[in-house]
Amino acid sequence: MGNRALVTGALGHTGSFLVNLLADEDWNVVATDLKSAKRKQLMKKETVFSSDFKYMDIERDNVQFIAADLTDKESLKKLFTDKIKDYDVIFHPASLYDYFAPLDLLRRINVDGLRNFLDVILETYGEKIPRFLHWSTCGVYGEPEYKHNSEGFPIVADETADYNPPNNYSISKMEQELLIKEFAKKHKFPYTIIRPAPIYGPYQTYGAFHIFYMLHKMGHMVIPMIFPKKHQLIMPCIHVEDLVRAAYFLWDKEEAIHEVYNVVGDNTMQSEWMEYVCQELGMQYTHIPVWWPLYKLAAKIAFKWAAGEEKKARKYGIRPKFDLPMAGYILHQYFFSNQKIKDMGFKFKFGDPFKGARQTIRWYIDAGWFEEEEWHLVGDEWLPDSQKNKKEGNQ
Amino acid sequence: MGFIESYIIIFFLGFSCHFFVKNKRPANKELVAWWSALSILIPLLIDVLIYVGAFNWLWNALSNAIPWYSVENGKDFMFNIFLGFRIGNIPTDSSGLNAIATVFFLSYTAWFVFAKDGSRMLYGQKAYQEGYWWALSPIRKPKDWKEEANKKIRKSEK
Repeated sequence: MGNRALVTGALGHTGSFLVNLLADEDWNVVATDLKSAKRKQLMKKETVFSSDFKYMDIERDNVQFIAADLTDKESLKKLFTDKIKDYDVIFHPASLYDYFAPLDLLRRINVDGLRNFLDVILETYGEKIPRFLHWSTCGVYGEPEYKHNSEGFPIVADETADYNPPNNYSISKMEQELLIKEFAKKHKFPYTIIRPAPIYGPYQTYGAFHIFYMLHKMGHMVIPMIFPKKHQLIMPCIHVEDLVRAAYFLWDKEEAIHEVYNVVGDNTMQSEWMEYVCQELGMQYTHIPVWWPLYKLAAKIAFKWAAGEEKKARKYGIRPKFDLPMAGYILHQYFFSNQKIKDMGFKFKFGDPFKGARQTIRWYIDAGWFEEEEWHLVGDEWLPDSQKNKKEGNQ
Repeated sequence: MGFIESYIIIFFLGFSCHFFVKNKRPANKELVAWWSALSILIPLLIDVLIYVGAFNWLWNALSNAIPWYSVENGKDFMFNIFLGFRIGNIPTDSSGLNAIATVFFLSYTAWFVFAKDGSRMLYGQKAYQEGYWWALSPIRKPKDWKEEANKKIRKSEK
């Protein structure tokens, strides 16, 4: 008999990768998420660009799926019946990760939902709660107040940086962390918190995926080369496989109890990362040197414009192509250290963000999520794939 | 046409290239080549003829027909088409102006290419691309199909 784990949010992007990793390692997994209809209704963000995009399948022999809702305490009790409750670890990636969602909804699901979950766990296990790995976000730091070296370059922020969440989602994640810490003061609660940077990787439909999709759709990118160099922005990101591997790595480490870990790949400049992604997507790009104050002004104008678009979208009851906090990445410096988890011996598979970006882009192309242009002679007319399929569909 | 007007026209002709380039490139390679060549050559030919004085008879005819219209030669007209209406200054004829005019004529091609590339950036280069317009197009109010259908029905009932 292998180990047993409970994975919440199992139908989400990270959750599905985690379930598959555990299944590969011969774990017995109880996977939980909302019922399909309710999930579809709540997770509209996943179908902003296409309703054909689907997450990884979690149907495996050693995976049992039980639908539950964090906002419904009774439904959570199904996850802790005598027959299945002997979990070695509870992984809790479930939350509403949606920058467009209002704060009260985020609080209801992420914070109150976690409170319900912890209550049920306490009722079930008393003071013998199994290991608990909670998914937070590097977003709880916002833009930390960096120290600077003698040349004026920012010094990377570690897990001791203060909370300064810049958007509703990050506020709800901060409140989750505070709730867990408070709970741990009252009860014997072996928790570990992981704070991932923006996640990317195959099957993703929201978040860093927007950058890949935007570049793919635009076909050209102007890449600002900010000078002086000390102001160049960092691209923090983590490949989904590394994220679930990090959680798996930490689950049984005694020294990780009551600790917080940033899970972020090695840092690189936004401009270098963009250039690489453009090359991998086979698209054109132009470098433009920009003086930092001018860049900041342009980025602020772009942010204001995005804010106006978001306001309009809310008024019309639709979603914008980009949620406002995503635009924050062109305006703020997010520079986080992964040294703590590295010091414990964790090795990133995609620590090099270029390697991860390449693998992700190849996946999107191979899976048909990103089109590659092919032309066909239909009758006496040359048509690209998209129009050919449309024409054949009409016939 | 004057230089400025030619630039504007060539810009639009270059910009319109994306209609051919984006969606039907393999079939329309020849069409694009012809379109590009004609978009540059026709304005260039007309402008050079105006500049060297091939249409000077036209200015004389216009001056006779409209008493307050006075353009003496095509060279003046090329630098300022409103000169006939006494808007702007009359450039002094000099070899310097000829050099400037030569640079302007030579830049027609570059201007066309600039506009063509601009349109490709704005609307995309491949069939599946939508260019910067994809990100910059403003959010529009979605159509209420139910209401539209009801409107049509009400209209037909009338």
